[in-house]
Amino acid sequence: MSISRSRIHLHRLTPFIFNRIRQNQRLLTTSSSSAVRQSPQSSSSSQEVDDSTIVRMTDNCTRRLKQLSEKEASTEGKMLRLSVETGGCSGFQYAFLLDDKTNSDDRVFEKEGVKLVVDNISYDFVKGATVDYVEELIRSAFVVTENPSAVGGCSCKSSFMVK
Amino acid sequence: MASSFFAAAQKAGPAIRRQALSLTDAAAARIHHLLQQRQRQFLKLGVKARGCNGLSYTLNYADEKGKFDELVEDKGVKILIDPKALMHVIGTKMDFVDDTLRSEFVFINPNSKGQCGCGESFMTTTSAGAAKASGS
Repeated sequence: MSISRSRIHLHRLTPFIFNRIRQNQRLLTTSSSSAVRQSPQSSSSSQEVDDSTIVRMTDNCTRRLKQLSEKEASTEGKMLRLSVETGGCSGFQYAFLLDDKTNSDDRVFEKEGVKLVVDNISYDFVKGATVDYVEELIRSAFVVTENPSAVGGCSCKSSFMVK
Repeated sequence: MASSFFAAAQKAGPAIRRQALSLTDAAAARIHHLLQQRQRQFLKLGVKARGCNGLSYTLNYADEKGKFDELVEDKGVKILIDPKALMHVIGTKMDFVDDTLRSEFVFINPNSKGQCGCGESFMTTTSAGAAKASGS
């Protein structure tokens, strides 16, 4: 009587046990295959552009740089160099100039044929930022907008503090 | 005697007012170009409280002179000065700098006691006093 009962229990339990084993097997195999899949995926994502490490240029910025390149022979083929200097009311300030030389440790960002150059030291202060060309009545100039490395700063946006 | 004095005072009046703001040739040429292009009557100069060091200049187009606006005419160009700004900009020389990388109006203000590193913000004794009053 007891034996038959235990058999019945066994019969009921075995499908559960089997399913559990199958589940575990599935988990093991999928995790290993996803691990294999992940490594090629991660390498492709590192090839993709990570927004927080580049310095972006707006369309107006590239348009103005193209315009400058066409306007005068002296400015043709020059790159916009962004550097960070100490000064201003909040510690650091941006400086723009047109340059045709790059150093070995410079970072170059290219868009539509125009180049933005940032030296290695300044790069840490501007990575993830956007460079724009703002045209107002009182002035037209290159400005750095949305710098995630900067906090607060001058409201004229040429001086900033770092986090 | 009194009438000649009065006539002299009348002549001196507009001359004194003209000195509120002066323009360089470059600034005048630029303003003339802008007003022609947009077909507007005047350029209006004002100040507003912002920036790191007190005040900063504002420039807008204007088509009519407000009741208390100060009209400055220099080198064939008409500029209105906002009455609130008049005390701060009196004696200022307005220049226009045109570079490859930037082109902007520059204000050389003898009243300016200090300037933001970027040059946009400035402080005058009157504004500094006002800032202290509001701060305390």
